[in-house]
Amino acid sequence: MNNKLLNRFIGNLDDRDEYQKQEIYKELAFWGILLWTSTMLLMFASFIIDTVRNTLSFMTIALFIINLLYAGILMVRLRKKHLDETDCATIEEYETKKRRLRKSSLFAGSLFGILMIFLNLYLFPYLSSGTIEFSWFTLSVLVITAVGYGIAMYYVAKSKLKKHF
Amino acid sequence: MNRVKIFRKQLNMTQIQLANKVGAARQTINLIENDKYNPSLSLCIALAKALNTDLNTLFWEETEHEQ
Repeated sequence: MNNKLLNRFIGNLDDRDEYQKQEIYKELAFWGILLWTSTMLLMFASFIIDTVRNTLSFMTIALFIINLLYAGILMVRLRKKHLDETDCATIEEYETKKRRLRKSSLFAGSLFGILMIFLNLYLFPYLSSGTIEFSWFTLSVLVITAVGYGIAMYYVAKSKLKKHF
Repeated sequence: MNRVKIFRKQLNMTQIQLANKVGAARQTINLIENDKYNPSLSLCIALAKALNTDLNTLFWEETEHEQ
């Protein structure tokens, strides 16, 4: 990080040395993650309030854009520096990691599916209109989306496994 | 255990004087002397130069086999 920016942000008069910078980065990283999680929860809460009121507020849109930009920029920058890659030295290691990815993707897809079904079929319709109308079509769309999400996650994560054998 | 403290004492330097010489904070020198922080190679070199010694003498830990 730029020294001038860091000093201004922390409120220091002169440059910090390597140990101090390392500790500042650690704090910024930890609280940055916590702040991002909080804004995600806040966005969800704001979206629920909007659903109850049948409106779309500026706050929900702003929080959505901020969270999306933050996640997107972070992902692009990490990828640019190859920090998201996992090296595999042997074929056995590669296969083991691939199996772990398959399990994680199955879990991610299932969790995504269950959450989407609960939110879109039950919670949001109930909050907006007070009634729950079950639809097989919506359920099929959500299940297909969840399967697609799981498969996409698997292939995205697999592309980060680098073969070195 | 590194020998930064021993060499600093030999030169009658305070932690703050050594810190100023290598461009680090006094707190960092204190942590290095107490083995609570592993300095970067560039700081190790700066410390070795400031204490008129070399990296091996300052930081190398001899095992029983080497002795």
